[in-house]
Amino acid sequence: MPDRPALGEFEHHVLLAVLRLGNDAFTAPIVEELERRTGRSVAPAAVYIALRRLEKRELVHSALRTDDSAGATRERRFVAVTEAGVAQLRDARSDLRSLWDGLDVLTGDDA
Amino acid sequence: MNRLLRAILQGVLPPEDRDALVPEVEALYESRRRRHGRIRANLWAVRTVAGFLSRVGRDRVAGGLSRRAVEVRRALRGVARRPGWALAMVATLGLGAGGVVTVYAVAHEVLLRPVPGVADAASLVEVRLRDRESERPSFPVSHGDLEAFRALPEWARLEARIPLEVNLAPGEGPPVRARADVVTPGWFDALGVTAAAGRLPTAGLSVDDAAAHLEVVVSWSLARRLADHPTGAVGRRLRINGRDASVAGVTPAGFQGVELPADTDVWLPAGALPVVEPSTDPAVFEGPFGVWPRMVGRLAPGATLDAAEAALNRSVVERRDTQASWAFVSLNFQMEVLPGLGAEPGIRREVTRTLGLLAGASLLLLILATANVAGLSLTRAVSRGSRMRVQRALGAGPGHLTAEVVTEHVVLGACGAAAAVGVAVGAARLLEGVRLDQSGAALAGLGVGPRAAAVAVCAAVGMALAAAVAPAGLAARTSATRPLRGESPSAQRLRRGFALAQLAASVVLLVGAGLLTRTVGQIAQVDPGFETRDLLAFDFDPSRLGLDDTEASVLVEELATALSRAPSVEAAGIAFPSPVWGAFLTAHVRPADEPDAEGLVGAHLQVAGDLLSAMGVGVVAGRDFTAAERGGDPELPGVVILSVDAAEALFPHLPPASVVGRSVAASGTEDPLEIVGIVPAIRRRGPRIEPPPSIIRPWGQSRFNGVASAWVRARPGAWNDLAGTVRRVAGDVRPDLPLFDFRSVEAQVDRLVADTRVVAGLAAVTSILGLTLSALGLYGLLAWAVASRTREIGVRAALGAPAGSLVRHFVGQGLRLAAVGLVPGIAGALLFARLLEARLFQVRTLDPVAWIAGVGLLLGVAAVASWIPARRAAHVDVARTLTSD
Repeated sequence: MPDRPALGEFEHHVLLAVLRLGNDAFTAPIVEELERRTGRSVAPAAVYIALRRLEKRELVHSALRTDDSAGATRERRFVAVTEAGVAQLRDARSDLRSLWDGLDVLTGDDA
Repeated sequence: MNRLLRAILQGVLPPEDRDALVPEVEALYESRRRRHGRIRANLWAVRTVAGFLSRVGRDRVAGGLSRRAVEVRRALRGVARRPGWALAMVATLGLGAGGVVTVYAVAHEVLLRPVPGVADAASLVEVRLRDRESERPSFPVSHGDLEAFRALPEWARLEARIPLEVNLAPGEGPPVRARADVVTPGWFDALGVTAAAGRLPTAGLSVDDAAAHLEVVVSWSLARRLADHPTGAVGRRLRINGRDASVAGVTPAGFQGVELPADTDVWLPAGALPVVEPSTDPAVFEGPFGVWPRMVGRLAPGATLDAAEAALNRSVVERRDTQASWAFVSLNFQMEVLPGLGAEPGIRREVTRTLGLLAGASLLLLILATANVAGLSLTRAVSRGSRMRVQRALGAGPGHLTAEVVTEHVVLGACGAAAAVGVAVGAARLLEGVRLDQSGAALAGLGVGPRAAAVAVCAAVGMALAAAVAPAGLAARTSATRPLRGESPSAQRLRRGFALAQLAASVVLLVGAGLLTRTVGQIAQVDPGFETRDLLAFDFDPSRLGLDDTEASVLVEELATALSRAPSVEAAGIAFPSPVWGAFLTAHVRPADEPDAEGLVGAHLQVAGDLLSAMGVGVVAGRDFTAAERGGDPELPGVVILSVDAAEALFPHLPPASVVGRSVAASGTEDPLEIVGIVPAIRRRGPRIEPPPSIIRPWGQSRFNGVASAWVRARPGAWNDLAGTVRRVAGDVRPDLPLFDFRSVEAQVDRLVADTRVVAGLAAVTSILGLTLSALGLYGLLAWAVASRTREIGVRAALGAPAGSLVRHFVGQGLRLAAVGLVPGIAGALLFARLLEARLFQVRTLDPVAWIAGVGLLLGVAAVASWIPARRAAHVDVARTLTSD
């Protein structure tokens, strides 16, 4: 097994949201994406701290870029998931799948 | 998003993320505001910023970003482990620093607070001509003097004003009393005040212009009374002292003159002075007359206060030789330059004096508190000595241990600062409305602002750091190998030193408070010479109605009679000048049949109606004036009533009763005056000042004209209706006569001693706090001694020492310590009493009652503080003590 700390639930969510947003990922859209998908209120500070920790673990990387998409030119810190991040997500999904294996009756799924 | 929240967010975020992230949070806020409304969005913003504060802070600690943060966390944990000790530390720091902050808040309110509405108020200075031997705050300089001073290179601007009280009638309404300033043309420009509406006229000294068309500037608050919207007041008509005027401009909201409390409502051009004050010479600005009593200026770049003051005084010396106006001015006169604007200079001086004392008392309290905190810290340091030795053994350096102690004290200092702000806010509430001086200026806006909070932080953290010195030294010297022992001799000496300092400071505070309390008691026993209860006074100015002296005299008698007959009035009279706290009008009298006699200068008082009855002043010999005498019947001879002291001074060989029927010659009258009555001495300036002999004349025979004072005594139970009745009756007699300064005489007389009572009250509170702190310090010292000597006490008890002897031993130890502390304490108290001397009244600095009470109280409290731990020593469980480790 790879010797690296497992993803926390919230970190897992943040990484997935970044992947969904593609190249447009920065804090505010990530917060909104998470809220839209989970239906729960998300604290921007929690997203910010999670991104900092994920970057320290090299699961995401960030860069300041000029963004002029909203009509005004503005510096933003864009985030993208690294290869290691994608690999960690894959591991997390396979861990979850193996844990869920045989418990489909609980979810009501047929597969 | 709210600016404060944005600023907090910017502060908490690291610089590399700040610019990118803040707009993002704002975008989220906007999106929430659109979806859920402003209130929910604002709640979200508060939660979000709080989230950033806590999460980013935690992340830094967890990430090892700040070693200091880790130390703070450890210190907080350490403090939480000893809540009792921490609470005692914080409470002591809070009390000590709270006293300092309160004194600072008062100083700021009265001496340092900038005048609102003035541009760059800090660079303004007040200039005045003062007689060093007089209490009067300022004397006027002539217009020529002002121009000469202005030309000096040290001054960028120098403008002047004449404060006036005027009768102001807005439109058709009845007149009211208002504060006005007659100002030089450049007044508003120099202050940087611009018009909120209309213009601020700079038209100047021309009396003819002002007489032809009087244009005035009014305050925003007066403009609001004149028109629906203040800007609509421009062009409105007013009557000022009966003269028509029009509003040329309105000052911005907030600006109400340069003297605190700021309540000036009208500004008049200089030329208007002879127009609204017809007694003023129309050539007042041309001659050598002193006309400008108050000056305000800005210094030229590079000029200092001292240089500007020296330049003014050089100019005065030159003018003394050349200008007629200075020829009669005493050499004691000097120009003074005071930094900043604010309360009237006399009040500033009075408050500075009071504050000096309070600052001294709060400094002593600070010393006491610091000594106490230091004692507490040392106790803690000694008790954790073994843990520190273990830390040393595990590799912690002396620097590390010292840093731990210092951080802990800084954390406690910060908590103490918060407590100090709480103490100061409470004290400010108590002091609000306290009258500062005889003019009745109140500490209305006293509060604890950001600067006072900064003072709290400095004082509390400073005390905590001072207290950290000894324990930090112990921590630095902690050795891993030295065997565990009790308290080191040096620590014991330090603790004893702290306790002694506290005891000494307590003696100083107790004796000071005792002397002031005795003073308040002595003042309360002084008979003012008249009955103050149920007595209402108010002022009015018949001279402003354009009446001649005879007409004014008739009006005054008519008003006094109408007031006397009103329901709810027992007696009423009118006097000029005010019988109490007013200006004196002096008169010289001598026995009529002794032309060479020296006579005496007394205080003249002219009365109408039943003034003496209203004041409750009984005639001790002879009679009161008759109605015909008061009415000024020319057929009747001139009459006078003298106070007992005046009678004794004029006729030293006669008992006062025999003086009735004799005659005196008085200044200002040709014919001799018959003495018809003798009254007791009236204390006209409060209990502290010996009353001048009174020379009382009937109004109809004297007829000076000026601000008159009516005194009305209520019938029993009718006090609440009195002011309304008086206004109605006076309105019936003369509807256009403004009545002002309604006051309860009891409250007003009380105010004459308010400053002494405030100082005594604060000194009593301070001394009780000080005594409590030093009792705690002594208790802590002896409790520690008992705790650390438990084993020895057990051995003594086992060998047969009776419990009583153990108690005596420890109480004796406490009392010996208190006796040693008395020596520096008494020396300090002697010095403090000398400083207080000016505030004492009929109490000597060595007053035996105050000294014996102060010293006795300290010894008594010391005995109790020692007895509690001594009792514990007597009840030591011998078996357990001797068998324990």
